[in-house]
This record gives sequence, C-alpha cells and structure tokens, in this order.
Amino acid sequence: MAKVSFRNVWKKYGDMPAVKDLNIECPDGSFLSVLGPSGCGKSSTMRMVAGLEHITSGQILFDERPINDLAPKDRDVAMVFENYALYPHKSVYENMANPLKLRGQDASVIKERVTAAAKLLEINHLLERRPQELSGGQKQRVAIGRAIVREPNLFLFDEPIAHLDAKLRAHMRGEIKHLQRTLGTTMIYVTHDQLEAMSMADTIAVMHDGELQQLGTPREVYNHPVNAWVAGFVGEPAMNFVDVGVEDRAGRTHFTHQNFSVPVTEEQQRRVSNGSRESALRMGVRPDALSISMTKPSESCITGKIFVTELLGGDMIVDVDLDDCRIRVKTSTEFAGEEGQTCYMTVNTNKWHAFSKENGKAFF
Amino acid sequence: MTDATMPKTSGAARKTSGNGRNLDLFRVRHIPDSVESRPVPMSVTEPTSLNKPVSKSFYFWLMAPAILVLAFISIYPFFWMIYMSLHDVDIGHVEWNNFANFIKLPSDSRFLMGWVLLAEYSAMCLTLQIIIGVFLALALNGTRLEKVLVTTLLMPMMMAPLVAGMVWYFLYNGTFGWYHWLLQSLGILGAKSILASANTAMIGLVLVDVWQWTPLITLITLAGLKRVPQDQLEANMVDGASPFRNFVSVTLPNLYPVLLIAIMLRFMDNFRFIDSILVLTGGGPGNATKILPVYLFEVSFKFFKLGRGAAIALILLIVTIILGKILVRVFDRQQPSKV
Amino acid sequence: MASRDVIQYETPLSKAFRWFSAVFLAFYVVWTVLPLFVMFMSSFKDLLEAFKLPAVGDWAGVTVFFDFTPTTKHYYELFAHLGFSTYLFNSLVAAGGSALVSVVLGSMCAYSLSRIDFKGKGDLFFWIISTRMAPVVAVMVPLYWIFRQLDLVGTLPGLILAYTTFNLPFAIWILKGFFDNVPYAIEEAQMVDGATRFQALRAILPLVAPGIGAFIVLCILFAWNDYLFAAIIGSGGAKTLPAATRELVQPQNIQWGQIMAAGVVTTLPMMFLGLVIRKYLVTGLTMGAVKE
Repeated sequence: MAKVSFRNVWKKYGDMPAVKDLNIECPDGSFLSVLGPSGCGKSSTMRMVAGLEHITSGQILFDERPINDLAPKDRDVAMVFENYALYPHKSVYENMANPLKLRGQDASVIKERVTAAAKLLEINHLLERRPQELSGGQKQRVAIGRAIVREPNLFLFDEPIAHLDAKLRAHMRGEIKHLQRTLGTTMIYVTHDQLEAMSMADTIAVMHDGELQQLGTPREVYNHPVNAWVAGFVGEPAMNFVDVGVEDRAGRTHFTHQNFSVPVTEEQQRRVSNGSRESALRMGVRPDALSISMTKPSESCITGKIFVTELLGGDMIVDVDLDDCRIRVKTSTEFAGEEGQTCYMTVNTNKWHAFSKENGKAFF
Repeated sequence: MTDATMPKTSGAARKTSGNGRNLDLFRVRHIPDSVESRPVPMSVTEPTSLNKPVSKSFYFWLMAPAILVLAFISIYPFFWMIYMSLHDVDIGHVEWNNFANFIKLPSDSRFLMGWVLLAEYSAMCLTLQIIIGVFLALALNGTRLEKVLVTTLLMPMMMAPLVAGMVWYFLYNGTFGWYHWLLQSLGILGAKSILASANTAMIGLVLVDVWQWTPLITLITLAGLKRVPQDQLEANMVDGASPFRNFVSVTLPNLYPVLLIAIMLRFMDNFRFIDSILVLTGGGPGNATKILPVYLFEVSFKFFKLGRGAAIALILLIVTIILGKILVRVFDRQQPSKV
Repeated sequence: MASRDVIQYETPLSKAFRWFSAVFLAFYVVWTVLPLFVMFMSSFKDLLEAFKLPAVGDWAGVTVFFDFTPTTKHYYELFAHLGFSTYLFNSLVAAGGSALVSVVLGSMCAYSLSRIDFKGKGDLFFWIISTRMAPVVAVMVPLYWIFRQLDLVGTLPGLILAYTTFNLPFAIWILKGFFDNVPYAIEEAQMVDGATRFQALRAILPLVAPGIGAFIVLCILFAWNDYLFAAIIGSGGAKTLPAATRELVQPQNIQWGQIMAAGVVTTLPMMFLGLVIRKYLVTGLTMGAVKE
C-alpha cells in the first residue's frame, strides 16, 4: 500500500499536451477518482502510473519514491482495464493466477489466494470457464479478481464498469467501493461518469483539457465547484446557467435578467464585490435548488413559460423557457403545469453560484 | 387529483405550445396521454393459415450465371475425371480397362515416392517459411522502416512463379550462376550445381519457394500482430511479465489462429503450384524432386496417359478437398476471440 | 485517444534481439532483392557479359557483375522478332477477360449468398471454395480433354474460361465477405424509400466498389502469372508471356538475355499493380481469412 504523488507531471504526444502540470497527492489507503470527459487526459494519467506510458516531464512517486523509470512489472500495481483485457486462451482460474505465477509464487499459495479472491467476488463457480463463456458482469469480476489476488501498492481501475448495463453498473459501484474499504488499498479510479466518481471516491480530481480543475471531496466538488466547467460537468441533471446583470438596489446586489431580479445574501455580496468589477456574470443554479409553482410566490421570483415536462417516475423535470434561454427544474410529480403555461420559480439563494463571465471562476 | 392534473386533450389548449416557433411545416396532432390501458390477452391462438413467404427468386437469378459457369468448369470436368480414370484414354481412343489405372497405383513406386517427396518438400518449405516469416514480422513490427521494407519484401510474390524459377535456374547454373559461385566460394558446394545432385536438388527448390513466399507469412503475421489486443499485453505487463514472457503468453496464443491459416494456405499451394519446379528440375535429377503434382503433370501431359493421370488427379483432388474442409473449419473458427 | 506509444523498458535480452533482428533484416532484404536485381541487370547484358563470373573464392572479383555495356537489344529482339507483342496482348486479354467475367458474375453471386439463407448453402459454398483450392494439374486433366472436344484448346476464350476456374470461386468467396460487411439496413432503407431490389443493390455498389476494383486487379495478377494453363490449354494459338518465356529455353541454346528481358516484361506490370492494391493484398492472398 502506498501514497501516490504526482509532481508537475506532463504528458505530450508530439507537441500535443495531454496532461498539463498535474499535481495530486493521494494518501495511503484512499480512493481517488479521476473524473473528466473523454480526451481530458485521465487515461494518460493512469497509464503513466501503470508504466504503460512514458512520463514526459515531472515525477510520479509511490511513498516518496520516484517510479518514472521502473517497468510496469516492477511497480507492483494492479490494473483493471476498460475492456477487461482477459486472456481468451486461459481459463478464469489461470487468468486470475497470472500475476502470482509471473511473480513465481508457489502453486499452493496461488490456489489459496485465487480461491479466496474468487469467493470474495462470488465467482468461485466460474473458475474453470473461459472468458468468452462469461457475461459482461462476470468478466468484469474476473478482471477485478486478477487485480486483487496480490496485495499491490495500488489499484488502478480504468473505467472498469463503463460497458455494463445500467442496473449492473449501479450494483458494481457499491461492490467496488466496499471492496476498496475492505482491502484498504490505495485506489485510483478513472471514469467519465460523474455519478460513479461522486458515489465511490474519497477524493475526486476533475480534469479537463489535460488540466486538473478541482481536487476535493465529492461534497466539495458538488457544492462548491471552483469554476463553471466543473459545475456544469458534475451533477445530473446539469446545472442551469443564466447570464445575469449585476445591479445595486438599495445597498443590496441584485442579479437581474429580463425575467427576474433576485437579491444575493450578504456573504455573497461581499464575495462578488471583492472578486470583480464585472457588471455581468453567469449565474448557476442546480435544478433541485429551484422550486416551481403556478402561482406567483413573491416579487423576487423567476418568471418563465413551461416548454415541456418530463416524468421520471419519482421526480419530474420541467423545462422552462426564459426569454433568452431554457432552464430545467426538478420538482415533485404532483406538479400540475401544462406546456405553454406561465410558471414561477424561486431560487434557494443558499445553493446558487456565480461565475465570472471572463474566466469561469466561481465567486461563490 | 385536481382538474389541472388531467391533461387536456383539446387542440385549443395546445395551440400555444411550441413557444411561438413556426410549426406550420409540421401538422401537430396531439395524442391523448391517458390511453386506456390495453388488456393483456389471456391466450394466444395459433394462426389458421400462413401467408406466402417473401420470394427469394431475385437472389437466385443473380446467382444463376456464376453457378452455371462454375458447374461447367468444375462439376462437369469432375465427372469426366471419374470417367477418364476408369478408361484407357488416348487421343481418339477411349477404352474401359477394369480399374486398371487404380489397381496399378499401389505398385507404382513413383506415385508413392511422389507423396513422400511432396510431404518432404512441404515440410521443409513450411518450417523455414514459418520460422523466418514470423521472425521477420517481429523484427519489422512497429519499426520506422516497416512500410518501405514490407513493400520491398512483397516484390517476389508479384512475380510469376515460372519467371522466378527461370531466374533462379540462372543463378544456380553450374557454369555462370552467381549463387552457385557464392555457394562454391563459401565451400558449401563443389563444381556440381545444387540442382544437379539428387541430394541437394530438393533444397534448391525449397530455397526458391522460401524466397518467393516467406513474405506472405510475414505479411500475415504482421496483420496478426496488429490484432493482438494491446490491453492484454498491457495487463500482462502490469501483472508482472517481462517482454519475452509477454510474447510467449499473450502474443503467441493470439497469433496462433492466423499462423494456422498461413500454414494451411502455403501447404495447399505446394499442391497447387509446380511452375517453378517444372523449370528448375522438372522432377529430376532422376526422380529426386518428382513430387506428386509434378509426376501427375508428366504422366498426363508428357506421356499423355490421360486415364492414368485422371486416376492420380482424382486421388490428389480428394486429398485436397479433405484438407480444404479442414481449412474452412479453421477459417470459421479463427475469428479473433474478443473478450 | 492519442497514439499509444507503449514504452519499451530496455533489458539485455531485448537489446540483443533488436540488434540481431536489424542484422537479419538487412540480410533478408538483400536476399530478396538480389535475384530481381540480377534479372534486371542481366536483361541489359550481352550474352557473354552475362556469363562473366569471377574465379571461385575471388571475392574481389564481384565487380565483374557491373562490367558491361548496357544494351536494349534483347527487348528489341523480343518485340521485333519473337512476337512478344502478341503474347503481351494475349496475356492482357486472357487475364483481363477472366478477371472481368469472374468479378461481374462473382459479385452477383456473392451478393445473393450474402443476403439470403437457404438449405444447402454451406455445401454450395464449400463446393465453390474447393474449386479454387483444387490443384491446377488435377483440374487440368479432364479440362484439357473437354476443351479439346470443344476446340477451345489454343484459343483465348478457352484460356479465359480456364482461368475462370480459379478466379470465379476466388471472387465469390472474397466478395461475399465484402457484402457481408455492408449492413442490410442500407438496402432496407432504400427499399422503404421506394427503391426496387435491383435499385437497392445498385445503391450499395459504391460501398464495395473499391474492394471490387482491387479484386479485379488480384484476379488479373493470378491469371497473368499462371503458367500451367497457359502451357497446356493455351498452347499454340493463345500463348501468354510466361508460356512464351518458357519457350525461349531451347536445348543447347538458352537465350538468357532474352529470358531475363521477358522476365522483366512479365514481372514489372504486376509489381506495379501489386503496389496499387497493397491494402487488399493480404486479404486477397489469404482468401479473406486475414485482414489488415
């Protein structure tokens, strides 16, 4: 088990930077999720840790020991690949035994450990089968099994459940998290699915365009995104963004728009005025921080016209047209609005955000 | 539920939807949300009559010309082959001979020797080609010069085997052949050409086949190497394998199906093509390189014993068809097992 | 993802392998090119110059190979007096004709085989492919007999038909693979939009056109390089380049300069074509079993 540190890590393909100046500390035994859309450099990051890719510049350290020049086999990491990468010509047992065998373990030790791992993953009845005889979920368990038969420094999971169906994915999320807690091994988990990252990780590293955007706990990333990009990427349904003007009315800053004018709290006012002189910024509010009604609750509410309603079973999403944009509101299924009707929304001002229009940085 | 929760189905209430965007192009017709749920049928009744199936005649008409032509040049000759094999066939004279063509075969030493030599020839060609071809592919794979070098290696394959045979005949020649000079200078050969001595003639032929067709093995192996799943190699590396170990336990097993195909193809080609052998030795010296197809050629088109030739051809054909059956099975199974 | 450059961690073993393979490659390239080079050079040499050879063991004498005055008289001889322009024409017609017949009939058949299922399809398919795999000599015995009776021996149509015995099954087999890769949904969409079956077929032709083009070339290559059929079925009136080249070998009088020139004439166009369809070469030469 090890602590993993990234120190000014760069990865370039030719002149194309894929990872830019990455600095992350991942404490021993923690679960770090690297989150970002495809092409953000998250896979390159993981492959550099595994030793499958050259580190262009900077250092990666395990327990303060640089591992840049070590071959993968000497790094003592275990990795689960997106496509499982099982050896088709070997049985499940041989697949799982492979890392131990390559390290010259005794047959008895191998047998014991593989059996134990298989039991843990509930695949002990599949040991004699070949990978092509397994379902997606079973293959995935075998791939994980191959990783946990040893006690490596570090687990690397590269989108391991991306190819499973939705139900199984939800199930495996819980299992993997439980597994990591049980084994206590440091884990780096790469995913593009914010839900996976949110639900499993101790720490999330959000990456975009090769740059680390934010490093924090799931709660921090969700509640206090550092910039508009992170705010927009994390959360489902996604955050609404509305361009608003900033106006002073009777000593209190208001965010103004054709459809509304809402005062900010004192704390927020301080932050905005400290932060910039911009007369316009981007307001961000999550669908669940808005409440919608068909009657006007107060003066400082947002007026809009219902575009469409989507029933999601337990919840309802209402798409509302403002004059220049469309926002989504999460509400209960009791909501009785009709398409085309005028509706009113109140913002929970404790839960909204404001971002600079210039560089996307969050004021609050 | 209040009245508002019940969706209104009248068109008037919906007219306002679309937010004033121009929807004239599409006539919007609203379907009520609250369709009465349909009862689940409790029993299914079998259909009393079946409809006419879709006609496939279009496709059969498209197939017909090719099938007819093929039948004329393959099935029709096949029956002739059987007919001829049972007769004494000379130009303008055909006579039933009580299976004599077949009966004589087991005691025909050149016929039996033909099989042995064919096996010997094929074994030598294949062994050398596989070893060299695979090694070349490994040496080439991923190098900067791969494209250029592969293109260079392709050149012999484009050559008519007959021309290749001629060129090598020239190179092997005992008085003015450059390769003969080389072999002589290296002390490997004496004054006699490699083709002139019964001990070495077969090797001379094998070298030509190796020269011309090893690149095919290389090409096939390269294609196979590109298909070795990268993530399996990587997984094995992370599991702790050395490059050599990685080759043995991941690359080779993944390469195995294409290599099998390569072997089968070359093996069958050794049956099929005898052009270069006809030029280089014609089966000689003595009968040292008279592999079965060469012997068959000699019987049929040198001595014009077409009946006897047909008998030999029939046996050769049956053996090939059996091999072909195996090959097709290999083809079907070789689809890369994706995990 | 950007190109995956898997890094190599140098070990003594991998280093040794790299060195060895570089040396081996160099050697192999020389071994491959040398015969072609000799053929090419010798076709420009006068007979006596072509026979010049250093003494055994005289390594420095190798330079005599380059000691000659280039002459094009062999090429002139071939075309002016030995009728090679006719043979070239025969080769072109026989190879091109059989390629055309094979690919046209073959693609119709392959398309149908790819689109429908019927009883005995597997057997039909195996019959087609075994026709291709059959040893040429074996096929030729009855074929020669039949062709004699039909007066097809020594004629170009006869030769075209003979080449079709291996080109047609080849075309069907390979092109079926091509059509299998075209989703049936495209034709279905066409037919839903109002096309007839035939129009639907025409609509997908552009998708397979590059492949069909490449396989016309491959069929030409196989037929062009054939010798056995040309020698037996084509003997007399339909002599092709390989058969004519072979006939330059006469007892006591082998015209090596002319043979080498004829070799160059036969080989060069095919090398060129081979380069043009480089992409399809592996697929073609392995009967579609291996794709690049």
